[in-house]
Amino acid sequence: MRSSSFRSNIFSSLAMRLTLWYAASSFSIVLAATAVLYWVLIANLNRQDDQFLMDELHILQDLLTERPDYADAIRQEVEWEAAARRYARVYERLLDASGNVLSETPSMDAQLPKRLFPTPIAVNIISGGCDQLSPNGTPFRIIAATLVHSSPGGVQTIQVAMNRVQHHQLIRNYRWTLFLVTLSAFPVCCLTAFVIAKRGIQPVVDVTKTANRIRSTTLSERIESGQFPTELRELVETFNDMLQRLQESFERLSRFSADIAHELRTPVNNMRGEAEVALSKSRSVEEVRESLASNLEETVRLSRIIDSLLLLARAESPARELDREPIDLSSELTRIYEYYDVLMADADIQWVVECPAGLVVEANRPLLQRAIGNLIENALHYTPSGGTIAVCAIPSATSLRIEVADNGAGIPPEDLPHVFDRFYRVEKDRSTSTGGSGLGLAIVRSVVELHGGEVKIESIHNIGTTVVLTLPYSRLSTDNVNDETVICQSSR
Amino acid sequence: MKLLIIEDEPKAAAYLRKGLTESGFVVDVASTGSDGLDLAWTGDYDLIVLDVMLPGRDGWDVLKRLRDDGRQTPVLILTARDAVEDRVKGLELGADDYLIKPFAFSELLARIRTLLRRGPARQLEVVTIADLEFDFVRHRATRSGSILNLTPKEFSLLSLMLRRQGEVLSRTLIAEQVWDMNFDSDTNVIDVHIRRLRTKVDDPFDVKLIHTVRGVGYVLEERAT
Repeated sequence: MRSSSFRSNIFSSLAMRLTLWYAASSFSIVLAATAVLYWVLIANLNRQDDQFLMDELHILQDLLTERPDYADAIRQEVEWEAAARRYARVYERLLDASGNVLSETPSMDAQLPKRLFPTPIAVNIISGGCDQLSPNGTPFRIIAATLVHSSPGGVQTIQVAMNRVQHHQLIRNYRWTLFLVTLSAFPVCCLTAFVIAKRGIQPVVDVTKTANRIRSTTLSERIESGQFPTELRELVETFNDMLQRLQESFERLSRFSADIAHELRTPVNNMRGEAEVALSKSRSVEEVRESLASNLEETVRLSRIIDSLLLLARAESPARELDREPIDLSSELTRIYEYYDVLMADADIQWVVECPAGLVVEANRPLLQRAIGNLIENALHYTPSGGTIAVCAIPSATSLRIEVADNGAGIPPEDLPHVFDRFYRVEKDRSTSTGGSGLGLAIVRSVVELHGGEVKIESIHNIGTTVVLTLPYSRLSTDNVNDETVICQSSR
Repeated sequence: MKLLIIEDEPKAAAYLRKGLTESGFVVDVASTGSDGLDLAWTGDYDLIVLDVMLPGRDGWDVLKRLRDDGRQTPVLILTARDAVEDRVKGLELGADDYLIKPFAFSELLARIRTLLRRGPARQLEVVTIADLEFDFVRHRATRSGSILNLTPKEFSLLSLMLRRQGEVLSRTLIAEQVWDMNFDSDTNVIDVHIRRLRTKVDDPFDVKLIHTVRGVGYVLEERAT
């Protein structure tokens, strides 16, 4: 468990992962470069040695074939010249056709007996030698060649060898150096990789730090996206957008809490004052009754606010199963018409309710009633006497539109986006005498959204307002929708 | 009629006792679940009003023990939580009705009366109050012998008030019973309906029958002038 969590910790860190990748790749490059350099050095040394041996071979051949009378010179070349070299010690041996030694560098026989040499090849086609260890372990580069033209002295084969102790020493030194270089490259690679990774990750860390700093009180803070690389800028902007939305809903929520407090404060204050005044001196029964009745009215108002708030809160809790039942919309609307018609008559408003007969919708009845009722009450509130209100239900293949239209005062454009917010009132005085609780349209929206629909509002100043509820609707098999339309119309 | 109220909140218990006593019931009050259970076992009550949120033994437990014991006394539950599960739980445990706080006292009274009235409903045919005669069968209402010209909804409204005469009917109840509207309107729509009914039933006559109970609702009764 421990080791696996450790493992996951190491590998879950982006910086660590980058470090590992960077380190592994840079170290591999160092290793590969070292190997190539080493190989090139060996190849170069071999070629250089071979050229040297070939030179010796050609000098000897020239001497033997072109200047056969220079016997002393040849001997000097073979027996002295080679032996005199200090660094590139060269050994040369001349053999006749039957393999007898005609001449050789002193002590060559002890170092390299003639049998150690490969089968000789003609001088003009030979290209290089091969490595050979002497019996006592000294490394040599050796070459053996037959003369193309026979020499007057009877020389047939030339064997040349070169002591490579120096070169081997050089290669050994070089190898050691390379080893040290690779060894020190490892920590350097790791460290560099770590630094690069850290630097690369730094903007992410900065974003995290800023994000960490943001609290509910500093929600207006944003991360400056300009300072970040392009790849992160998008992330930062997305994050800022999220902050924006959070800030908005947070502000809405705290405004909502303040509004609730305010809404509750007014009736509570009325009740308190009323009761205090009533109790401050002895009063007649009538006066006490009056105070109590006033108190009761405030209490009823409070209860209704609480009721509406609970309804909204419940609508917001997810996974709430709605109690739906099939509702005959035309008879529902007829009932609503009968219910509100007296108010319309009082306000001298012409109104009409239209719905196709037999239209059945699956919904929660009290909620749907409440939504439509709220819209009608709202329209009534904003329509002056002599105005008109029209309610109609229009079914389509997949949805049902319920429209409530009035030709009242309309809603100013700046208020329009907010009318579905809780406690939002177009009249800013917040007095409950000119309107309801300010929760009516918020409840409409909640109800419609609970039913999976949506609500839209359109309003033109002094022309009127239309609210459209769109509910998902599928025609039930038991439906008996015909062309007949139920129309309730005021005959005033 | 003897009622038992199990309610721990002293103020609520006090006004319930007062209101119900004044409505003609004999009322006992218990402030804990255990006391309530003891009283319910020993006393012979016609109905129990039970608050769910009680210290110690809660309302659910009291109800369960009563029903386990085989007592079929009607129980009306009072709760401050109106979660659907709570209602379902209450009804499953054998409660007969529930009310969510805050509630109108008139509502409680109406429900208690309904629970106590349960059984074969009295089929009214003709009701007479003062000089108002109301014929349920022939759908006809007269006052001092002259026919009142009522719309169908006005007729339902008047019949509701007559069937429950002397009982204060809240606006919510009226909207529910007459128009089947199950929400509280922000408008004074019920008042307007009552006003219209009054212009036909009361205004032309000296004896007024429909009375406003301020803050509560309306009642139909013959009051001594």
